[in-house]
Amino acid sequence: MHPRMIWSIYLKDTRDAIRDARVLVAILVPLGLGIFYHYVLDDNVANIAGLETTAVYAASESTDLPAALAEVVSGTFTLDTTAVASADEVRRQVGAESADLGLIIPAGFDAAVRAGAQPEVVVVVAEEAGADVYFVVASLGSALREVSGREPPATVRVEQTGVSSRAGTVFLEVGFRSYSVLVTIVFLVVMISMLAVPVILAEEAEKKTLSALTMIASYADVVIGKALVGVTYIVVAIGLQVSITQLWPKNWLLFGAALGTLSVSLIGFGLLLGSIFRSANQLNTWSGFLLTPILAPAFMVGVPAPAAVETALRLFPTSQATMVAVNGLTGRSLFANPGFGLIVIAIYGVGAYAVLLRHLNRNRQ
Amino acid sequence: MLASEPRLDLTRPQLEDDTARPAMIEVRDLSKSYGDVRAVAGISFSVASGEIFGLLGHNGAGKTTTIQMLTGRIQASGGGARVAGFDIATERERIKPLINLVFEEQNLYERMNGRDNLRLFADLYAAPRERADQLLELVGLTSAAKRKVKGYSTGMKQRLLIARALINKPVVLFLDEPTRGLDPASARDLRRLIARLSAEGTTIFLTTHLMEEADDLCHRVAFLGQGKLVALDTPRELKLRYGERTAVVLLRSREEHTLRLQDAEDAARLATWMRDGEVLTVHSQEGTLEDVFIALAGQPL
Repeated sequence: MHPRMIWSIYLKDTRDAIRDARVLVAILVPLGLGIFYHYVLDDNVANIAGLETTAVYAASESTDLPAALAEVVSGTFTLDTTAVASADEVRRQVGAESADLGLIIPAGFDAAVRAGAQPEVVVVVAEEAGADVYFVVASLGSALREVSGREPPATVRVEQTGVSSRAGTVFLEVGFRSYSVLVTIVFLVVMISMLAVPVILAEEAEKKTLSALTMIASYADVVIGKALVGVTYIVVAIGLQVSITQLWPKNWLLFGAALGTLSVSLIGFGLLLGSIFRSANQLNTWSGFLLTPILAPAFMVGVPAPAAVETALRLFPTSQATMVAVNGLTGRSLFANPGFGLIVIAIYGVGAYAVLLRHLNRNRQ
Repeated sequence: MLASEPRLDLTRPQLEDDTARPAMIEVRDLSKSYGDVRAVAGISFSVASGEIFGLLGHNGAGKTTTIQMLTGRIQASGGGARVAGFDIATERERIKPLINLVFEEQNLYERMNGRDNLRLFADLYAAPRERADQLLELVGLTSAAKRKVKGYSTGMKQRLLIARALINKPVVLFLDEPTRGLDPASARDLRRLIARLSAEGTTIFLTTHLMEEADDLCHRVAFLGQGKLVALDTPRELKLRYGERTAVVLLRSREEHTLRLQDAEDAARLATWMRDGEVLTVHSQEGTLEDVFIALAGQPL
């Protein structure tokens, strides 16, 4: 290994590769997508179109119940409540799907509740009501206690177990915007390491400039030089992404470890691809097919999935990196065993570099 | 166009004592096989310091494979060789700074300009960066130094390749089809440069399809056929040995006859014409290297 030669190759590629449109696109697409998500999306899931729940209620006199119910569910949904003239109107609107659910509240309801009586409140739901409606219905008990002025019979403390998967609730914990931007950062790492970097190497082989370099440098010098180029592009691009989107992790070390380990590992894979494909255009053509199975697990992390799928996600470097990065971003252990996650990613990297060096040395046989 | 006046210091650094040997390339029973195919089948020769040595042969004869083995790009299957005094199998890292290669392909960084192409390799070889400008001047590319190589003509690229191969002042310079794509004037200038490098002590090992080029330039040539060395000598000796010597005779009747000098019947005819005073002019012709190759390999190049 020759540090001076590695440095020369690194400097050459850092300046030259960015002039290649394919490399530029590989960097700008995820970067642009992240910025787009930052400005378009909202961290509050309740504000996402389609997740707002509407309720109508009929009451002959003023009641605190609708407001108490909206308050109880506000951490999860926005419940928009509207008073209507009659019980029939409540039924009509729910039946016509103008509202997600309805409440028919009898006269003197609030006073009766406070007096310890048990007045009847009717909840009207549609035949195919969604989970959000039943979540609101289930929250009625808390709302009624609120209206009655009584203390809850017990305090509830939520404790996370060590093996809890947070799939499905990641959006709520991290915020929809932040999660989406985080996934575009993983996307950025994948695009640079598995498209930009291999394009740089494949082009060297295709144009035979690799032969000129290895007249004096070793294959290892070339590979390390290009790996450093990939790392540089990733660091700069992530720095830009984080600065623009204000996605400041609460645990920088864990966040950096996740993306750093992923970058180094995937660059190994990228260089392997670059040494296998005979031309940069061929690589570019097949990249969509190759990148999908690498990228998809990262996106799957935030989506509710069967236990088997969640277990399978533990085996992919991008999903592991996303999980560890989520922990770093929130500063909480939403996903268990970040150390195991980093080891899984590193194993992929060691395997990739071993195969890569073997492949390059075999070219000399 | 290559610069006609030398402006570059082509003096090489002094070699270590153990490398200062008369033979810069020594090849012994060198072979290379790809599966059942023997690309090079046990060739042996040596090239002296400052010599211009030409390796000739058909496409697929094993010329490029031989260069690849001697420059350490691929490993030999058998035999061995020493280049600049070092073993190609075990001392490759010591050979690398002492040699260079003008590739058959124009493998330049096309998005970079000519100067940056040379500066990159100056950095890799730890040569001073000013050498890039000196070499650009030598090959007549100073005015195009800041232009992207993508916009260079084939001839300009070839000249830049030559300049790149001289960046480390190589002791042994390998050239794989060096005048390919050059116009006649540029090719002539390049041949002059090669001759000058040789005169200054650089050992030149080249492959070419151009028999006239080999004839003009090389001190010795070797013919490869199906991976084997079928002949090796100076061009003149090879032509005398294998070529057909002829004489073109113009008679007073304006008839022109080509006579084979080794043929007894033709010799007798010439003697008769001479005795009768019929001969106006006689031009003797020795064989060409192409004739030699046809005689050795049975087919034209």
